[in-house]
This record gives sequence, C-alpha cells and structure tokens, in this order.
Amino acid sequence: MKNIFESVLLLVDDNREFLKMVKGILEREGFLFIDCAGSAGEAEEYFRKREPEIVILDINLPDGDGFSLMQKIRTVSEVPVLFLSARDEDCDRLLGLGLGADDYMVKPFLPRELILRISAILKRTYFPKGSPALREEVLILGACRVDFKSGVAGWADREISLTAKELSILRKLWENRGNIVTFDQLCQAVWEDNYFGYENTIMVHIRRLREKIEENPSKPQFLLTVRGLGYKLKV
Amino acid sequence: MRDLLKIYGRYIGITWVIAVFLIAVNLGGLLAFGAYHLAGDSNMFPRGLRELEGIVDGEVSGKPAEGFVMTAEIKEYLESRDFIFLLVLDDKGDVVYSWNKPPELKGHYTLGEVAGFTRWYLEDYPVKLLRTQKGLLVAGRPKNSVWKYSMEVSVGFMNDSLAYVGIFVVMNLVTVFLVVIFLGYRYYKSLKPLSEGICALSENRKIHLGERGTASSLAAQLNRASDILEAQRNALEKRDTARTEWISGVSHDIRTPLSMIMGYADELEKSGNLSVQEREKAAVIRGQSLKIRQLIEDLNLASKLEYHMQPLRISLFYPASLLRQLAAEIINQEPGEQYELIPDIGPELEGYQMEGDERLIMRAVGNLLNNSIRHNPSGCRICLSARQKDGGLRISVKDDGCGIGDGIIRYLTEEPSREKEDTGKGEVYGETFREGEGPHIMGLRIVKQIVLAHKGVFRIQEKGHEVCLWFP
Repeated sequence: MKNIFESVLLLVDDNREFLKMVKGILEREGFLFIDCAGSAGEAEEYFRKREPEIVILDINLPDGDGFSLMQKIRTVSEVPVLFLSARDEDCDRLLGLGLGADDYMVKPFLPRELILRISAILKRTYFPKGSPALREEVLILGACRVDFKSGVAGWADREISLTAKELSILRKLWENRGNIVTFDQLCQAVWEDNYFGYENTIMVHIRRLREKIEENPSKPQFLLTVRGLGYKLKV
Repeated sequence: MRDLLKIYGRYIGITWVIAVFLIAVNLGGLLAFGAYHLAGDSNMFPRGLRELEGIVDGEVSGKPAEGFVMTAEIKEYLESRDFIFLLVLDDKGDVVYSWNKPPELKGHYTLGEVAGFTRWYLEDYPVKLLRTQKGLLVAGRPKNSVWKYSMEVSVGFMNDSLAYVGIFVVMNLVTVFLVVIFLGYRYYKSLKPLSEGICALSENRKIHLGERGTASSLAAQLNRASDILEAQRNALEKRDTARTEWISGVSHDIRTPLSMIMGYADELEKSGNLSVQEREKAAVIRGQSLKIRQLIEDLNLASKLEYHMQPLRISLFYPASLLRQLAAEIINQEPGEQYELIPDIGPELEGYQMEGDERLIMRAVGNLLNNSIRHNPSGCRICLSARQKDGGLRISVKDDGCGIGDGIIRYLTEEPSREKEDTGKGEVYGETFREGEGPHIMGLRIVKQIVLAHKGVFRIQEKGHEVCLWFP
C-alpha cells in the first residue's frame, strides 16, 4: 500500500441506496477498493475471508447493532472503525468512541467531511508521523523561507535560527493557516497550559518571531494579530 | 405547622369564651328567673296563709264571735291561692270548722298526725297551716299539685358555703381548662399529619397519610387527591416523554434520507456534465438540506430542553477561552467582508472558571452570532462581550443590523402557556413573523432554554439589537 487510496474500505449499512451513494463519493475521491455489507452477519462473514484497512459502520443494523459488531471485530482485528450513524445522542457518541472507535460522524453529513475524516484516520494509522511531504515542509513567506526541519528562517542575505518555542508556534499557525488560532489554542499547543498568565509571554514570542520572518515586523504581512482573539498565518 | 398552632390557640380561646358566656347566661337567667318569681305572683313557690293572720284575728275585736267565721274575704283569699278546702282545729285536735272538707278526712287528729301533715301531706293533700287565736287553720290544695321537701343543713356548712361555692367554681374552671387543653391537643395531634400532608401537596410532593383517628376520612381524601395528582403528573411526564421520543425518532429517521439528498446534490454540484445553472440548482438543494439538518437538530434539542430530557454535562471550564474559540470559528467560516465581529472579553475573565455545560453554552452563543449574520445579509458589526457580573458571567451579543422583531421578543419574553405554544404556523400571540424568522425563533428559543437550564437570565435589549445572557 503506497498511499491511502489503495486501502480497502468496508462500508456496513442496511440501506443499499445509501451504500451505493457513499461508495460513489469515495470512488470519485480516488479510493480504489470499497466493499459493502448490508448487515452485521455479512460483515462478520467478510472478516472471515479478509481484513479491510478501515470499517465505516452504521449502528442500526437489521441483525444487531454496530456496537456489538465492533466488539466482535475487535476480537479478531485492530482495524480502525468510523461510526456513521443517524444516532446523534451524546450517549451513543460516547459509547462508540469509548469502545475504541476512531471517529463518530452523524448523518446527514457533508461528503467532503467524510472523505477528510476517513483520510485522516488512514494517514494516522498507516502513515504515521505525517506524510513525507509535510515532514519536508518549507514555508515560504514572501522573501523569507522557513525550513521546519532545520528550524531556520532563510533570507536572501542571512539565515536566522528559530527557537523551539517559536518553531512550534509557527507550526501550529501553519497547520491552521488562513484560520484564526486563539491565544488559548496556541498556549495549549506550545506550553500545554491555559492562556491565563501567558499573555505577555505570547506577545514577546510573537514579536521575536515577527522580527525573524517578517520584512517589516511593525507592519506584519503574514503573521497577523486578530484583536482580542489570537493570531492568524496568512499565506 | 404554624397555621395549625394558630387554629389550636383559637380553639382554646373560643372554648373559654363559650364557657364564660355559658356561666354568664346561666347566672343571668337564674337571677332573672328568681327575681321574676319572687317578686311576681307566680305559683311556682306555693304561698302559705300568712296574710290571713290579721284577717282571722282581726274579727275578734270587731265582732263578738267566739269561733272561726268564714267570711267572703277569707274565701276569696283561699280560692285565689288554689286552696280547695279549709279545716280549723282546736287545741285538742278536733275539727271545729270545715269548708269543702273532703270525705276521707277525719273529724279529729292526734298530735302525731298533726306533726306529720305539718311537714308532709294530709291524706296526700298538700296543706298549709296557720296558727291563730281561733285555732289551727289547715288549708289544702288538690292532690299532686305541690312537691314538698324538707331540708336541714348544719350551721357550720352554711357558714362555709360561700367558700365551697368558690372552690367549686375554681374546680370547674380548672376542669374546663384541662379538658380544653387535652381535647385541643388531641385534635392538634390528629390534624398535624393532615396539615403536613396539605403542605406537601402544595409543594407537589407525593404523600401517604395514616388513615386512623378522628381525621381518618380527611386523610383518606388527601391521600386520594395525592394519588390523582401523582397519576396526572405521571401521565404528563409520559406524554412529554412520548412527544420527545417521537421528535427524536422522526429526526433520526430523516437523517439517512437527508444524507442521500446532500450526497447526491453535492455530486451533481461537482458534475462536469451539467450546465452552470443546473449545478447552481444542485448547490441550492445542498444548502437547503443543510438548513433542514440544522432545523431538525434544533427541534430535537429544543424538545429535549423543554421537557428536561437533555442532561446537562456540567464541568468546569474557562469561558474566555471558549468565547475566543467560538468567535474564531465564526470568523474562520469567512462570513464575508461586510461582517465585523468585535470580541470584547473582560480582562477579569482571564483565568476565571465557571461551571456549566460547555457545549450547550457554546451552542447558545453560537446561535446568537449566527443569527446576527444570517439575518443581516447586507452586513453588520457584531459585538461579543463578556464580563463578570453579579457573581456570574454576563455574555452579550449586540449588532447594528435589523434587530429581532417585536413579535419574537414578545413571544420569547412573555411566558407562553402550553396551549398557546408555537402552532407551527409562525403565528404566536396573534403575531405573524416575517419570512425566514422561523429558524430565528427556534434558535433563540434554544438559547433561552439553555440559559434557563443553567438557572440563568435571558434578556433582549436595545429594541432587539442586543441579547444578554447571564449565567450564575
């Protein structure tokens, strides 16, 4: 398996029409091997023959419920499971995740979201430590080129190394590029603590970071402050 | 309990008043009665012959008559006093004169016989005697007309009698006092459970009283009332549960079909074989399906909150962090250039923790922010502020857009009775809402329900431009 699209996906749902639609969505996205089961019995039968890379599981099945099916699967396999159910109660969600499911989605859903979640689980499970692409990520901010691997901000005439904290701040912002990262989220990511008490620390770090990556630190182009909320990396 | 003591006190007081009144009436009656009979010419106490004394003896001086002479005056006197016969006895006991003498009477009476009928009866005739110089007058009344009793009392007793009367009065009063206290206490004891039961009923608690003693039938009726109330409460709860489960069931069943509508609409929207217009229509289908999803989720949550079937997951959290995250999410969705969201979180809130259902509170504030965006398509400035106030957290969402309609404000701020609840036609309290306000009211109602579930305060201010939430 070279990439996630070669994974075998097993869809379990009692509604054939629904299976057909989800299969279509995934196929168009590029997934090559998609198998379907219409009941818990069919799914168990399937597991006797082969093992998929991920199971997308409904909870209401004609011959049992998805939770017990998942427990049965767990006795023979550690395959990741994503629940896709019409049941939106907190208790169902907690039960599913508590049993060790990797994700829980409620119908109706946006097709895009389903694809993103399935991809995330597959990447996490079969391609850990991020994709090779991300590991070699280089961030281009105008004239500045930040190399996450070496932790250096490269300018045309000089190279400035970033501290570990500055790097992790930048990484958190880069992961959420285009979106606001609140002070609180940043603190959790970098210091693993609440924002309270870090107000000045964050400001100082951001100022130093700007001095290293911005052409004009007093008028930042990329690392923007969103007043009262947090920061945003505009790329 | 206080009421019962009051009733008890009043009972004792009234009993005392009755006792005193009774004594007064008796004394008064006795006095009046005695005065009437002693003064007037009543025949209750048959009179003797004392008035005859002068008349009989007076004849001696006027006329030379030796013996007794029956004059018209004497006769009239006797008849007026109900006497029916008269005998005159001399010192030897012989009857020297008689008037209407009954045949069974003798002509001579011994000393012993005279002594007997002086005190008792003469052949069952009640008689009165008068000693005169003409002899002993014996006047009789009809049989069975007068009751005689002779009484002798020692002088010592009579001398102490006033003291005895005093002692008896005091003893009576003490007895009355003790009896009243005792009976009152018994009533108090037997009514106490009833009073407690009524208190419990008024607090909507179930009761079961012991059905014994003086108040047993009342207790039984109270028990029955409690059973009826309990049954009604159960029936109501059952109905509410059924309704919530029904809504929950419908919203569950609608999810899979809606997924397919959204899935295929999404596919059509991206399909290269369709014209731009057709793809736009598919996008509308997808967008509207999202709205339906939001609506059924709101409906489900609203019904659960309404009937207290949404358990609050209370935890400690930092509201400042939560609100920043919420505001960031709203901005990240890129609602458009025309919107400006200004977060204004008080510095005192940094590090401030509160207790509540984080997800629901986030949902409430999110509903308010999304409402401001949805109902002002041409843009507006939204101010999200949070402050510590009155020992709680005050969150306010204020915009300079169209504001919330008066009808909705009235609907949300006046407590609707169950019958008058949302008819589903967008018409409440005779108010017809503007188009598109349906989701608005559902969203706001959920906000209000969430605040109330946290025992907070929900308020719409500034003519519908500001919604204030206060959480304790």
